[in-house]
Amino acid sequence: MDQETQSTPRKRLGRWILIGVVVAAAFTLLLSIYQVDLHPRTDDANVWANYIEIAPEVSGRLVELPIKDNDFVKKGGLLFVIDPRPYEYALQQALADQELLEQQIIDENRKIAAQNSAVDAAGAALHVSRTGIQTASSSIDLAKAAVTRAQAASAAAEARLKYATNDLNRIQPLLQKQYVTVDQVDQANTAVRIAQGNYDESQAALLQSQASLNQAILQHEQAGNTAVESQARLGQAVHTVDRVETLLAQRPAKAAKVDSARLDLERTRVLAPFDAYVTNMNISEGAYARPGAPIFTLIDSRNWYVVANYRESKLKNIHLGSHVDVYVMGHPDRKFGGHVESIGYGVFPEDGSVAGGLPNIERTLNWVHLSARFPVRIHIDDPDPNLFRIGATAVTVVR
Amino acid sequence: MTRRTLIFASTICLLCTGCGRAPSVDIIGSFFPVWMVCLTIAIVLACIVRLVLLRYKFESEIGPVALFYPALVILFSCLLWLIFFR
Repeated sequence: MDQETQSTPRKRLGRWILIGVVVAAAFTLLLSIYQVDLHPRTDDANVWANYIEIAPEVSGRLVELPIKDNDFVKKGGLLFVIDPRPYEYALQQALADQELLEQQIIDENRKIAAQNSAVDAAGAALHVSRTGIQTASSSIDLAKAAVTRAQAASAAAEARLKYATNDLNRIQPLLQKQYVTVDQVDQANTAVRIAQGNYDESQAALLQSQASLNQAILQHEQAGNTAVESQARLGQAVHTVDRVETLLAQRPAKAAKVDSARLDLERTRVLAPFDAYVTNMNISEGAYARPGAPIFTLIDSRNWYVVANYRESKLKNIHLGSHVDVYVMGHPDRKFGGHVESIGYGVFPEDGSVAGGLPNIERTLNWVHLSARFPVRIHIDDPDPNLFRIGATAVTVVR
Repeated sequence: MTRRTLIFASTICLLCTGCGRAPSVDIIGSFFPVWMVCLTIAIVLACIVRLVLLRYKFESEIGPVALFYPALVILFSCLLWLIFFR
């Protein structure tokens, strides 16, 4: 009986403990589920930073390599120097070519000035020959006048000869009847001979003047030909004047070659484009650098990220700019702050592959589908350079 | 009263530092999620509770142990998780 009365409150207490524990368990379980849903977390996250592979733009042997693997370099710091001598020579060559072109332009200008003078001379020659034509025309007129004069003189001499001959013929029969003296006949005879001589002379003069006329005409023709020739000479001189434009047009090409050579020379010194960590560097001085072939890698240390893969169902509680608690497993006790910078817009879909030009769709159909996960890029606000390394494991909790 | 205040203050402190640690635990090079750790500790705690109950012969008064101990394990692990790793 005593045991009965003692056991009843104990039983009641036990029952209450059971109910309390069950209710508390259910409550804490629901609270935990709510917390996990409200603050999505994942341990599938990696520390990340942007990186570039450093490749030279010119080829040659490395003559200077002041950095070592895992070094930190400031922006603008010297990474390596490629043997600059071939590029120095190329620059000198380009400069010499440019100077040569300038001298050629000066020479050509002088030559053109000489040719222009030749054109002027040809023009003057043309002018002279035109004057010659005019002179010849005047000579023709002069000769024509001389011919006319000679003809007139010849006609006068002929008339005088006729008169003297007629006079002789008239008085000669009168000599037998003694009407005229022998002396008078002789006088008439002499007059005829003189008139004959005069007439012959005038005829010769006429012939001479006609010959002069012909000569003048020929001279005129010759002057005309000379004028045509000097006209042609002028045309030739005008067309053979050199043009400096072809040389001037080469100026930009030469300048571009100089710039290009200068750029190549600058590219033999490779500088860090940002504050960075050197990694994957396994070479020493003397290595041969080829354009476009990466030599080592630079990790951009200005911005550190954690890329966390979240299930698609959790993305609704992750907003751009949301604060994120980040733990790096290299030091799990330290909490870093970050914020969501972006959420991935694409991952490779399950049935997205193409085989032989056709979509490759699985024949099996799953009843249960695993949710896809998207990378969420979280920018770290206060990174610690001692802990943050690309690929390090991290855990993120979005707050 | 001072003892109760002390317990309350320490609980508050624990709650505040609850998110000061990564929700993963490194055990010999492998990262285990903390809920596994919480579950293990909760099972150990439940065993201790059972020993205490057996010591005071109270287990028979509780009722169906198949409901009580799983609920106790869930309660302990959720509490541990909520306090330390929320």
